[in-house]
Amino acid sequence: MSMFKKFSKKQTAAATHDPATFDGEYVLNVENLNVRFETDDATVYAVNGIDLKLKKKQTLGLVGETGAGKTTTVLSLLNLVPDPPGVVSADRIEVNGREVTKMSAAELQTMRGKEISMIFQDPMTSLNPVMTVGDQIAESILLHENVDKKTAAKLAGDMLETVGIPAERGSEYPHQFSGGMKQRVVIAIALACHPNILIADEPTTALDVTIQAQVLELMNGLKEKYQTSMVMITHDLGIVAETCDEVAVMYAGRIVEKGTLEDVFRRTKHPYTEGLFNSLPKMNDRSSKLTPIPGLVPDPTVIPEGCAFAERCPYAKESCFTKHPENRWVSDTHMVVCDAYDDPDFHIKRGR
Amino acid sequence: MWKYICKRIAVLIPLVFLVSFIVYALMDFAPGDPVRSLVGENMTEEQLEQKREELGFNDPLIVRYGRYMKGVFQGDFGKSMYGGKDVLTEYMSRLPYTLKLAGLAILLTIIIAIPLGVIAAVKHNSWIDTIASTTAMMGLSIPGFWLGLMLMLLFSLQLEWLPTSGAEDGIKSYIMPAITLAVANASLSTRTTRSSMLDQIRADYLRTARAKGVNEKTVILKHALRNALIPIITIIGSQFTVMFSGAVVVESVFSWPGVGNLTLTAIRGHDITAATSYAILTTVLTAVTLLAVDVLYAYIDPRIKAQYTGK
Repeated sequence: MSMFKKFSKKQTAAATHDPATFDGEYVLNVENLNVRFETDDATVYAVNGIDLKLKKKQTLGLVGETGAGKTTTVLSLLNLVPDPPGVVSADRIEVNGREVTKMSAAELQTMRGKEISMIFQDPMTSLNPVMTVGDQIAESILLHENVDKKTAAKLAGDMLETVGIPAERGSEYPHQFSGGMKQRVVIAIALACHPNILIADEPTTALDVTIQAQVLELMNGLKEKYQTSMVMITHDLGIVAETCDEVAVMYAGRIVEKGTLEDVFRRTKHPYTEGLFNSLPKMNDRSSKLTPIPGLVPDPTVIPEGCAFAERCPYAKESCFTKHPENRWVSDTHMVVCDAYDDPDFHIKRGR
Repeated sequence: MWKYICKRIAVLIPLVFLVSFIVYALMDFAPGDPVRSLVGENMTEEQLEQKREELGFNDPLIVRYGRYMKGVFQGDFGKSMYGGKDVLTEYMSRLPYTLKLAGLAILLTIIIAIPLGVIAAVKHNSWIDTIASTTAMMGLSIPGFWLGLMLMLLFSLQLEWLPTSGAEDGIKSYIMPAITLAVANASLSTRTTRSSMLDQIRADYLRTARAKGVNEKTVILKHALRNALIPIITIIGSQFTVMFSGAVVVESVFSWPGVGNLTLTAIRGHDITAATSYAILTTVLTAVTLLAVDVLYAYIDPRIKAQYTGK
């Protein structure tokens, strides 16, 4: 079966790379990432020139509406964008200092789960329904750690205990678990080999609010315990405030504003970020209506000539529709992509 | 699980009554006089009447059926009207031929259909997929009796490699009937495997497996295929049962000494007892096979097992 040939190399053949010895500044370093999906009907431009950097033990929040390209961005870090139809190009996608796009299939398999792993959005569908949860955790351990099956099963049990599930439930199947428990299992799988980078793709979106809090608390604790760097994808600004050191706001496949949590939350610059904050329910005036951002996310099959947000932007000038906005650094840590700041007196209202 | 199996076997009893009554009644209502076809043309009406009385044909249908079923439940499936052979012995002597042929055909089906279907799904929309799908389409469209005759024409008459019919030449005699049966089965199973795999291939849990560092071969064969197996087993299992009785066409083309041909002979000869007994035996065999398939589901999918056991 030649179709499997390129994957069937023994995994141990790949040079083992110990993330602990990596001493660069950034565990993740992405420059000019572009991802498009080419189908027969149209080309969808999902990610358009994104730069991302993540320091050791830091948590970066990736915020934006559904369809902003958050998931696609992180999938390309693991080289897991489905191809076809996905086409990924970038100047640089480095994980622990190594270029992902140049890795062989075997090298990628050694990296995934061991150096970088991912918690997926929907725990209901992210687990294999016909494998016991214990086996699903042990599978990862068997692949990356030099242990026998029995030890792997034991370690999988320990991992379940770590996420707050009795080890003996490892012999049960996903359908025997509740949603919150399943998400704990997904977290256990992701952390089974103690990767130094963890990607959490809306880990609590599918869960109800009380369970959300438990899962977040668990993740924060484990992040501390294993000294993990993390990318947290979410559209919940409350979660960002609780978990992140830095924030990048995405819109239509681009980062429109990024900075430290303080920068983005206290010194908001971009009109889109302002819109996100304004659309939050007001705690001290519960009878007031929500303030949505007017309009819809732009059609991802068309690359806009000017700023992608211009159509929905209350501050848009004529030039916004024709000219791409530039990256502006308003401080050492804070970047905004908006040409309104050509006018030195411009400031957004941000009336909360 | 055992409770479930017992329940399913209990359901067999009314099923046997239903099937046997329908077959018995249909055979009885069918035009033609079984007694006349038994004794021949040159008998007087009185002699015929005497023979009828002797064989019990003058009793009402329900009485005859009741008498017959009483025998069946005592393990007596009656005797053939012609030659007076014991029906059960006859059936059991022919069954191995049918089972071996069906088994070989299913083996061929599995060997062809599952790899082909998996590859077609993994390489969705590629040339391999196109070829596999087109071939499967063709295989489904070819009538079995025609394919059998064509194979016979080529391999028996032209090349003289294989015997035309019968089962006397060992493995050689199995080749053509098995291929004829397998072509249609494999075609349908390839299509089922392909579509079932396509349902799984973009599933989130495969992404989870890839993100763990599982290699592509394991992702497809261990994670995706196991989840795709239920519809595949359903199709292959029902094809297996169809061959117990439905291989009649192929069995008669190749003069195969199996139960399909045996049943056909009984029906043609208006042998009510034999035909009904064969129908009952085939029903039981089919039901047991389907039960085995259902039990297999439980081993593949723990969610189905939970339904059976009520947990």
